[in-house]
Amino acid sequence: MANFKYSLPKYFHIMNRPPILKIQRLNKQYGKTKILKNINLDICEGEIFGIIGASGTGKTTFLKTMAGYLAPEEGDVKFRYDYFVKKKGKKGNEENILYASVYKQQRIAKNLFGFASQEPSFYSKLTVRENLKYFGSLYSMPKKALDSNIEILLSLMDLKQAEKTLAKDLSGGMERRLDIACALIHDPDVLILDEPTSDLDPMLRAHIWSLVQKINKKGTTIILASHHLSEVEHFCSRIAIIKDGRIIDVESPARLKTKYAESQEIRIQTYPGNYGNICKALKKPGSRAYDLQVKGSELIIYSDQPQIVIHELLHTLELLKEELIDINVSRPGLDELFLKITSEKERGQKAR
Amino acid sequence: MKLLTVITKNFKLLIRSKASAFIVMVGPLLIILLVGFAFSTKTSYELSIGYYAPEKNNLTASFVDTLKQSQYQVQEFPDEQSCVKRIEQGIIHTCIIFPENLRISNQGQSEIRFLVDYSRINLVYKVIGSVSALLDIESEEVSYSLTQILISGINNTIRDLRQELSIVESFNPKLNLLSVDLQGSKQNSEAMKYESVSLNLESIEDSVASLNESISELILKGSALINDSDAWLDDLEDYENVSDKREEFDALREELSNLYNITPAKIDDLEISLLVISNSLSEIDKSMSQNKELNQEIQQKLDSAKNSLVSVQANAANLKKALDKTKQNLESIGVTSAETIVSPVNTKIEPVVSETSKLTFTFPFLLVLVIMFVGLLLSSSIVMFEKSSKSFFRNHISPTRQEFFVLSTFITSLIVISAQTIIILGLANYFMHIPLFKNALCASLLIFFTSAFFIMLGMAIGYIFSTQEGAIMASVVMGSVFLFLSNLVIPLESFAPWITSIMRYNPYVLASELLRKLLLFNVTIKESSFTMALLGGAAFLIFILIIISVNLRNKKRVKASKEPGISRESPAEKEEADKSD
Repeated sequence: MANFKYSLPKYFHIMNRPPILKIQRLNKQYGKTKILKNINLDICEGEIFGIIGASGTGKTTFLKTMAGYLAPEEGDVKFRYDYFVKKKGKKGNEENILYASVYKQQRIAKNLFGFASQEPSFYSKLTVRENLKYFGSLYSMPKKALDSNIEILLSLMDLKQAEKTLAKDLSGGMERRLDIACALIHDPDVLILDEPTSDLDPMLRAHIWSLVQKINKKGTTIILASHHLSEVEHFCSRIAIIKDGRIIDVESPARLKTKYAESQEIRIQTYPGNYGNICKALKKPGSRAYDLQVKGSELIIYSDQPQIVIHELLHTLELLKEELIDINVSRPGLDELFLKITSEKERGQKAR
Repeated sequence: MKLLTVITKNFKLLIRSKASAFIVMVGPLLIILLVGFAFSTKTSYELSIGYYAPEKNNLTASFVDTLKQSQYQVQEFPDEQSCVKRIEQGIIHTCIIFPENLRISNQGQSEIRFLVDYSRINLVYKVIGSVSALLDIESEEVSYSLTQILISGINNTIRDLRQELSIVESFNPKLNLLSVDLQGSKQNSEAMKYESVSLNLESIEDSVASLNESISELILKGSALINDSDAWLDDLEDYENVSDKREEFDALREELSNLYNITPAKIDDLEISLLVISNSLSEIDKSMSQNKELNQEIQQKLDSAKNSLVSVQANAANLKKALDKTKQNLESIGVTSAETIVSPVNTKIEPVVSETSKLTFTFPFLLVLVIMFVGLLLSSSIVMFEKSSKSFFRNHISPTRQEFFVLSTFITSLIVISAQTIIILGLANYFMHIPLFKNALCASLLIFFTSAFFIMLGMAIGYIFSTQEGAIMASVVMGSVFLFLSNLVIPLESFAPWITSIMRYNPYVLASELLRKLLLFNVTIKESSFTMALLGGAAFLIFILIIISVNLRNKKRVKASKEPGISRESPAEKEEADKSD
C-alpha cells in the first residue's frame, strides 16, 4: 500500500527527468492506408500530454500502438525499463537509464500502461468492486495489494457508494470513472485516456478533468486524446496536434498560442447589433481588422493591432448609433488555433 | 420501395457476415447432401452375426450355411461368453447359440437361442427381425424336408396300397367264382327232391295207420268178442240173461262182421298205399340218383370253392405282408408331430443384459446429448460473449496470456457441464435406478473427456465466428449433424458402409456408445481407453489449434520479438534529454 502513489499525500511530480516514453519513427497502416506517418515523440514522466486532432486522424490508433496493443509497420515505442527493474526491487544504478521496446517486452509494457478507451471496457454484469478485483487479478497482483488498491481507487474515483452496484446500472460519469479505475488498478506509470470526456455533460466533464488532475498529481503520466480542445488547453502540459497521421506540432498550449496566434481576437456585443454595417465600416482599406466573423450575438474581429481596431470600432459604433454592451480582447482559443494551424499546414503542403 | 430497401439491407448484412451466411444457407444444404449420400446407396443393414455351436452336425452346418449365405458378416466363436463379450463391445449385433444336440425329432423341438443387446433400442428389433428371418428360412427348409419325408412316406404308402389293392382286387373273381360255386351248390342242393318222398310216406303211414287201426279195432273187437263170449259163456251158466246176451252177441257179431267186411277194403287200401309207397320209393330212388348226381356236382363246386378260398387265403397273406411293409414305411417316418413339422426349430431371444427399462438404454445417449449441446452452445456463447464484450479490449491489454483465457473458458464450461451431469446422474440413479456406479471411474473419465471435446469444439466455433447468432447456429448445426449421424436417430448400420465407417468416429457416437457399454456391461478402463484417448486427444488438439489461432491473431496485431529490445540511453540521447531539461 505504501508504494501505491495514489495513497501518498504528497504530490511529487517529476518533470526534469529523461522521458518515460520515446516514440521513434512510428508508422502504422491498415491495408494500404497509412494511419500513422513517421511519428517521433518523447513523453515526459508526470506530464499530462494531450493529443488533439479531428476525428479519423489516427489519435486512437496512435494511442493503441503506443500502448503496444497494435504493432507498427515501422518504428518503435520505448519505455523506461529501469523503472520496472526498480519496481521489482532489483538493485539498479540511478544513472543507469534503460529503455525497452514496448513490442519486445510486451508483458512488462502491459504493466506500464493503463488504458481507458472511448468505450468503457468492463463487465456490465459485475459490480464496481468485482470489476476492479477481476482486472486487478489479471495483473497477478497480490491479494492484499489488490484489496488495498481497490479501496483507494473507490475512494479516489468517488465510487465507494456504488461499489456493489452492477456496472450496467451506473450513470455515464460513473461508468467513465470506473473505466479509469480499472485502468489504474494495477498502478500503471502511464495512463492513456482516449476521449475521456466524450458524450458527457459539462458537469461530468469537469468532474473527470478534476479526476485526471488528481491522478496526475499522484505522479502518473497521462496521455490523452480529445477533440474538446478548450478543455485540453487548460489541463495538458503539452499538446501534440495530429493531422492525417502526422504530428504537426508539439508544444505547451501557451507556446502554441504564442507561436501561431499572430492576431488577437476582439469580441463585442452591441445594440441593436447591426453587425453587417459594422463589418462594412471596418473593412475599409488600411484597416487592421483583417477578419470579421459573426458568431451568435457576438462579432469577432481578428487583428494584430487590437488597440487601433478598438479605436476605429468605437468611432464606427458612434457613427452607426450602436450601443456597446460588451467587449473582450484575448488570444484565440485552441479551437481556432487548431483550425488555423491545420489549415496553414494544409496550405503549405499543397504549395509544396 | 422502403420495404425493398430494408430487405436489400438485410441481405447485405447477412452476406457480409460471411460465416453466418455460410451456415444459414449452406448448412441445411450440407445436411441434406450428407443425408442424401448416406442413404442413397444403402437398402439394408450392415449386421455382424456371431454364433457358437458346441456340436457340429448337418443341421447346425445347414443353419450356419444359411447365415453365411446371407448379406451379413458371420463369425464363429469358441464359446458363448466370448460371443456375448463381442456384443457388449458392439463388434457384433447378435449371437446365435445352437443347442448341444440339435436334432429334429418328435421328442420336443430344438431351441436355438439368440442373444441380443436391447440397449441398441433402435437396432435390436431390426436385428431380431433379420436373424429371425434367416433362421425362419432355414427352419422352413427343415420343415419342408420333413414334410417331403412325410409326403414321400404317404406316397410310398399310396403306391403300396395300390399294389395291395390289386391283391384285394384279385380276391373278387375268386370270390365270385366261390359265390358261383356256392350258388350252384345251393341250387343243386335245392334241386334235390325231398318233399315227394315225404308225402308218399305220409300216405303210406296213413294207410298203415288206418290199417293198423282197423286191425287193432278188429283185434279189440275180436278180443271184446272173445271176452264177451266168455262172459256170455259165464252168463250161460247164469242163464237167465241169455236172451239179452244174444242180442248183444248179435250186435257184436254184426259189428265184427262189418269189421271183417271192411278189412279187405282196408287191406286194399293198404296195398294201394304200399303201391303208392313203392312208387314213391321208386321215385325216391330216382330222386336219390338225381340227388347223388347233384351231390357230386356240389362236391365239385365245393372243391372249387375250397380252391378259391385257398387262393384267397394266399392273397390275404400277401396282403398282410404288403400291409406290414406299408406299416413299416409309415413307421419309418421319424417326425410325425405336426408341431415339429410346422416349426422344427424353436428360437428363443435372450437379452445380454438384465435391464429391461428402455430409459436405461436411452439414458447414455440422452446424457451425452445434453453434454454435447450444452458443451457446444455454452462454450461458444462464453467465447462470443467475451469477444463482443466491452471488456475484451481491457483483457487483451493486460499481461495475462491468451492461454489463460482459453483455459478459464474451458474450466467454466466444464464446471457447468459437470454440475448438470451430476444432477442428471443423481436424478437418474434415484428415480430411474440406473446403475451408474458399476463403472464409476471409467464413466467419470469418459464424461470428462466428452465434455472436454465438445467444450473445445464449441470454443473453436466461438473463435471462428464473428457474431453470436452465427456461432449459435453453427453449434446447433454441428450438434445436429453429430446427432443425426448417430445411433440415436437411425442405426449407423443403416447408412452406406463408407459413411458408417466414418461415423463410427463421430464423437457423439463414440461417447454415447462407450457410456452405454460402461453403464450396462462390465467394460474395463483398458477396453474403453481407445475411445477416451480419441476424445481427449481431439479435445487437446482443438485446444492447441485454438491457442495457435489466438496467438497468430495477436502476433498479426502485435509483432512480438524474442529479442529483449532493452537498450541503454545513448550519450547523444542523454545529452539531448539534458538539454531539453
